[in-house]
Amino acid sequence: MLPTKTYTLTRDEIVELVRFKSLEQGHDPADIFRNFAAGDWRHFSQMLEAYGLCAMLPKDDPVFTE
Amino acid sequence: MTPSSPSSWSSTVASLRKASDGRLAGGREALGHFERYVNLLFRLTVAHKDSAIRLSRPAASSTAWVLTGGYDLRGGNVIRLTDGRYLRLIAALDLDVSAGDQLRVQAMTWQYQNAIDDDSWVFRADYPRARSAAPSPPRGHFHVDGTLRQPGVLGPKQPLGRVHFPCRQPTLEAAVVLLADEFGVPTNAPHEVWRAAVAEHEAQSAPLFGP
Repeated sequence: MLPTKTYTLTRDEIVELVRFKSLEQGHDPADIFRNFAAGDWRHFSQMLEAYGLCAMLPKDDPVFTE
Repeated sequence: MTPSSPSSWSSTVASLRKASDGRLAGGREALGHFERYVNLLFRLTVAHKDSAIRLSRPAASSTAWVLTGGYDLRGGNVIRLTDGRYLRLIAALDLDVSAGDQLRVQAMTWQYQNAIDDDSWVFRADYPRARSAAPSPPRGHFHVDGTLRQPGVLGPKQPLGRVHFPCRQPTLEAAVVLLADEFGVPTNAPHEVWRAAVAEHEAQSAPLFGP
């Protein structure tokens, strides 16, 4: 097991990563942001990293209502 | 002393104990201790020597962090195992301010799979901490990709892999035991070493999943 790598992400990097991971799995990023804001973590296993990244953002971040 | 002798693992076991205590102590440091604990647990047990995990945390003051398998932020989430297969791992973590900043697993999924990035999964445990008002699967549940021997038990459009078998808290220690004992994934440390460590720490992991 190699040493753990730690990434410290800015707000914009988090948003970009959620978009990347949504599109990678064939989902509209806007849906993933909206699902998270609504507490609806559908496609749970597939999208959990994206939802976990969403949780790093403030609840009132504009990306959740765009 | 050979590399696989029990005594050669004593420092790893001691570090694991320290990390385990730290993850339970609360505060922001608990998040780092959790990462260390996961790394050491897999190093002791079923992780290939070249496998890796990563921790993503926000530059802002949020206490929500994500731990996943793999190094690459834009890559997959898998830990390479000693049997050549993979464990896909994602854990969303946070601190519970109502409980003195205790570390909590907000959500977790781990999946044993045959290849690095395809859908060749064998079993999977899912745990979303949040309760939903809508009808939903059990909070902790387990999936197995397979076929029942008895015909007609499930509907024609309901494969076994989509059945949610309830399970309470799918800890990482449970994943390790399942892989090693039931699926024969070789472990790095001798049986008596890793088994004792898992037994010592698994019960302590339960509070991380909360009530």
